[in-house]
Amino acid sequence: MARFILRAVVGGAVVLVLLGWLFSYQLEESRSAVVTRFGYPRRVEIEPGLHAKWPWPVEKAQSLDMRQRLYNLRHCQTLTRDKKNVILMSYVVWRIDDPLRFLQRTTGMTDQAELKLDSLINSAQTAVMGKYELAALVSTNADEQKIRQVEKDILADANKDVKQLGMELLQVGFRRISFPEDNVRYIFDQMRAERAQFAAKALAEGKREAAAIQAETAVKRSTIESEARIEADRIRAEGEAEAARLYAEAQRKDPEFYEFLRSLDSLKKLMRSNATLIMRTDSPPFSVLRYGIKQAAPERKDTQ
Amino acid sequence: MSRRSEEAHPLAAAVGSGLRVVQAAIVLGLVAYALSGIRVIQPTQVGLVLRFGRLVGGTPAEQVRRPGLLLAFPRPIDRVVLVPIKEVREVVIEDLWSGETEPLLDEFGMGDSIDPVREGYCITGDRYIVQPRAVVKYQISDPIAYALRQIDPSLLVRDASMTELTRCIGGMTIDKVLAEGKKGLAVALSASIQKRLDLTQTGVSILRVELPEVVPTRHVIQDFKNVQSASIQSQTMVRNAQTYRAQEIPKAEREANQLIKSAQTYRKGLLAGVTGEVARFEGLLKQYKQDPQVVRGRLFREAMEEILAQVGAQYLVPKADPSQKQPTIRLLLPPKK
Repeated sequence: MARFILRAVVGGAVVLVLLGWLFSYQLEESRSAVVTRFGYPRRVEIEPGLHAKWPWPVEKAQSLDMRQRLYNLRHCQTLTRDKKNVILMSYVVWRIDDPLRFLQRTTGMTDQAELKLDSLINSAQTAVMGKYELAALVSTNADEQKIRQVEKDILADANKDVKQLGMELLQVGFRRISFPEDNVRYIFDQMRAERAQFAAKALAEGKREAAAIQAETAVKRSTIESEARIEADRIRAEGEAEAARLYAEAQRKDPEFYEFLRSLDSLKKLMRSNATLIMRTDSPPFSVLRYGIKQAAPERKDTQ
Repeated sequence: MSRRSEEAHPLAAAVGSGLRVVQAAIVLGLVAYALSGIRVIQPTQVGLVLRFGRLVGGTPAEQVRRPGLLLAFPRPIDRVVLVPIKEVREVVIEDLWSGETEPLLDEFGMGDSIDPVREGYCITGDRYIVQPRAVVKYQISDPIAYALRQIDPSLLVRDASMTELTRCIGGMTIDKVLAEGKKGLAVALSASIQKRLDLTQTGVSILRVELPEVVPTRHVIQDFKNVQSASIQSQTMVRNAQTYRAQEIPKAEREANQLIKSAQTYRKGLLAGVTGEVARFEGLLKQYKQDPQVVRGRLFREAMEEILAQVGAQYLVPKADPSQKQPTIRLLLPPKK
């Protein structure tokens, strides 16, 4: 008996699970399902969780991934309003907006949908770039560079068509902005010319500054030298004036004796070994030889 | 009949014991299945539980499970998504950079240019070309948005970063980019990448942007190096001039000091000499005043002694006799030394 109950419970559970599996489907977060009955779409489910449906072949739930996707567009060469060629490589963030419409217009294949996106966005880019100058993309003037506005315009322009396909563009961005090869060649020439100019300027500036420092050094040095010379001369002159004053003071006390002493001193200085002295015998001290200790006569001297 | 059944009995026993092994295996399998939903969330992760596909929990705080043991039902009831929220992720942006520092021998017949499709670069605000390489470090800040609302968001981080790099460099002059490229630009970038990612609720937070390389392209790099070496050369010239000045001025000052000092020494010596002489004169004057004749004579003799000791040659001539003619003297001078 107990055995029968166990069997019944197990069997019932298996049947319930089987029925549950047949009559329901799971919808994960950020997915949606289009439920079709005999091929005709009946309803769209976007709430995640467990949902009921008639078993196959009556109803079929086709699930779609509604998450945001990234798509890198092929490069797109366009002309700006000021007739400049630019090559844009963009990315877009998009997602499925209307599952049913998406299924009907694109057969649900995302890679095919992205091919359609590519051409739609490219034409939007071409149209929008024709309204902006190149400065809207690259400019040192922050008011001129309007990339965010350009992106917004492209987004709005492309979304009109994209929404028809059940998709929505959330963001567009220029990963790369390039110039055609010919322009790049010209830019390189310009860069080289500019750099050569910078190099020459740097050298000239260095030379000028160095020369200025050297000149300044020379001026300063000669100023120091001449000031020192003037000061030294002043000190010397001061000393000499003082000496003269002292001499004069001394002289005033007895000019005759002073003169006598000075003369003797001068003689001492002048008479050296290469001097020849001729003296009269009556001049002291030789007068002694002739006159004994008589008073010495006035002296006389000569030098050669 | 009973005999037969008795004979079959050992076989039935064997089958029965086999069945018991199978039963035990089934029970074990069921238990293992029932426990298969239990997961451990590592300290660097958080967990999200999807029950029949639906995120469990009313508020984000309940939805995001902290590290620890996570009790969940087995599949297909529950599915557990683990999000490495503490992990620092990194995306390297090399699409705008070539890595070449020398012009290629064969640029596919283009010579001095860049194929815009094959190779990326950035255009500066003054319409020149540079090539940056960037490393963007980020972390997942919103696990729900990151794991459930988008397909491979790390690719979006890369493309958004590249886009902002293109935009930011497009707003600066080439010299500004090359001069402060690695600092100011990196800071500005991290804010603007964050802003762009927030527009689509990517659920990441940018930690840091590094720009290990911001260089002119290989075609013109030599020209930039020339400017650098010119400016180094110019700095050297200026430095040399400064060194010259630093040597010359103190030297001139030293010489000036010497000049002044020698003048002072001269004055001091002169005055010392004069003072001495004056003192001697005054001393002699005192004696002289007492006895002029004696002092005068003594001084004269002393002087004569000194002079005669020095003089090279001496001649004595007699006193002239006024009655006679003046005597004539022929002098033979000694040879000069």
